[in-house]
Amino acid sequence: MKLKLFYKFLILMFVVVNGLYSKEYIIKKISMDNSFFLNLDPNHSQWNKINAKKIELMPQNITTPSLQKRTVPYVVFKSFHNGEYIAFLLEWLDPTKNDFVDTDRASDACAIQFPRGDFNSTSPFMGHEGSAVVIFHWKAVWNRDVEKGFVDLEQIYPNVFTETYMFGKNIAKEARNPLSQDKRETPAEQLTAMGFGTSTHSENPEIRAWGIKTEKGWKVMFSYKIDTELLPNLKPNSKTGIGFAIWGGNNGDIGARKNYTPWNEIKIE
Amino acid sequence: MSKVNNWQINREMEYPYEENRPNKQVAYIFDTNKCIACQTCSVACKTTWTSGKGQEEMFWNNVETKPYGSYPIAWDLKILELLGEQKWNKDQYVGKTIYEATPMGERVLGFLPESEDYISPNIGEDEISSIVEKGAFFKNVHSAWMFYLARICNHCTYPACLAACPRKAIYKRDEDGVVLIDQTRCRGYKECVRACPYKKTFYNIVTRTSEKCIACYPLLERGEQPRCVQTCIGKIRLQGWLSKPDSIDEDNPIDYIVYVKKVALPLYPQFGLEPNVYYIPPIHVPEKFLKQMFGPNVKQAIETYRKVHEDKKLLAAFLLFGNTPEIITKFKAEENEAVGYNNKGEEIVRVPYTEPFFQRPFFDKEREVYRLNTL
Repeated sequence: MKLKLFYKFLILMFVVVNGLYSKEYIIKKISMDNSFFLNLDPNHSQWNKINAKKIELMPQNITTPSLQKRTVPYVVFKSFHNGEYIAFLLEWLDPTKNDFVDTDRASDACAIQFPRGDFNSTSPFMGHEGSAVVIFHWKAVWNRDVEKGFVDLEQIYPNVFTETYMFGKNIAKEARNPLSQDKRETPAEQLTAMGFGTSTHSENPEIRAWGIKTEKGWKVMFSYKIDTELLPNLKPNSKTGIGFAIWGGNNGDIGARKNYTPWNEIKIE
Repeated sequence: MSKVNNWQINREMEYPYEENRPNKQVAYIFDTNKCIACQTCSVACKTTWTSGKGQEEMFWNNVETKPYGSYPIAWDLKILELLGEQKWNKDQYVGKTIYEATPMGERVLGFLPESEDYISPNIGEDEISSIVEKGAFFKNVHSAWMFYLARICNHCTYPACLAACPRKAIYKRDEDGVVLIDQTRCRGYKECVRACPYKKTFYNIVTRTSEKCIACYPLLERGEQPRCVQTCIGKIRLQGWLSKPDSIDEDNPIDYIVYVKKVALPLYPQFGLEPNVYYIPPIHVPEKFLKQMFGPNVKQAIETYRKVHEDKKLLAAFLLFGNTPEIITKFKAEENEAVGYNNKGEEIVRVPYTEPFFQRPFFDKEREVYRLNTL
């Protein structure tokens, strides 16, 4: 009973805040070779020809733990497709590059989220029971893992010396925790969720990503191979919603401590 | 928030989940008066569980010198300051627990240590509370003090790490009350590191997950006490099962020392976690300091401890510390010996109240050697 009321509250919140984000963005079809989508260059000149949408971010304070004040003001979003792939470009302000993790260091990160079903009846807060969302998550530390090799102890503390690890084990790696794997093909993770705390890693992702740090902030390109089984509404001649989340590592943003938007309506030509 | 009963603060308190005491609760008693900070426990734990890459500065078991030692640095000062005034009315805590003092938008009142706070695990070692007054040395008594505080995860009844994890990746086992982090579910948000007031959950930068003491559960499962207990050369530790507060068993040594004689006390009970490592407080430390640390019953605990020679049953319970690797579930004070039993009722240890004394002849005729009887 309590759970049902909670979901009703979430849907109500969604209706209220979604009004702010209702202006539709059109993802145009452009004849581009698949190599554009596979090479993942956020600085590619093609992006200069694509319409941008500036979207205000809000601090995530619907659930705990939360952010009480947003740490990133907005995200600029661009997207187009070629019928087989859809590309997304996210840009946001961040003067510092945080691509390490430690007890007191968090990674810069971003994510885009799509409803598996109708976005009007799916909670933008990571979905809800019976209504799943798919999340594509990029992290700066994973970008560095792919670019320069796994961000290991020696990269964080170059002068470290340890005599032996002969008896040591990395339990999470042995338990095949996807967060702990030291080989990545792409700095993006595909997740499915049905409510807070339920995000679940997907093997064989349909997503690839690459990020570039500029003086002002990050530019991250996602490339998604259209898969109507995974996301039935993210396909040509269709409408759906997209949600955004941005984490500023410098502010210690991690997990639910994030800047986010509810659903933004998108129309795929 | 639910209302749960916390016997250590003698009242109901708020907690994010309902009261759900495990079928069995792992518990420890540490006698601070016997600890010499040899760190054998720290090394035993380190070599068993945390010698992997990413665990270099991780000590699930550490021994710090009080009042100035702390690992991670100032863990206790920081949370005490955040919590603000902590007031007891006789044996009831009337201040706020870390759950009741939770700031808006958080799950638990806490703080995230800095990475550098872990680099000096034995900072403040052997430092005393103040300088020894001039001439005090010759008077035989001085007011400077220090003591060693051995610390592990408290496997709390109301764990803050568990309450804080947004993914429910932390769980408390029904069969033994051990609190564990599911290494397949953890996504390294460090909310548990932030929430645990004792700072006994740690972040591993190589696995990018949080890790903590597992109470050596593979040993518990075969009826043995954990590594830190077994290896303690000072025999300061006893591990066993603590009964629920409404079903005390006087023949269980843990229950007898904790519930009946009230000589071993929880660390910072005012935090509200109902920690399950119980400390016999040091007898030479100012009461005010100890009261803040172990609650209002410190004076009574020390008085009982000082009179242990008059209390055969309590003496018997104390003599079981460190004398068997097996878990003692029952004990008996016989005429001249303390006897411990396992969960099958089998006798597993017998310790005399007075150590036997052997005097050997000064000259051994058989081997034609002289022997001294001194150690």
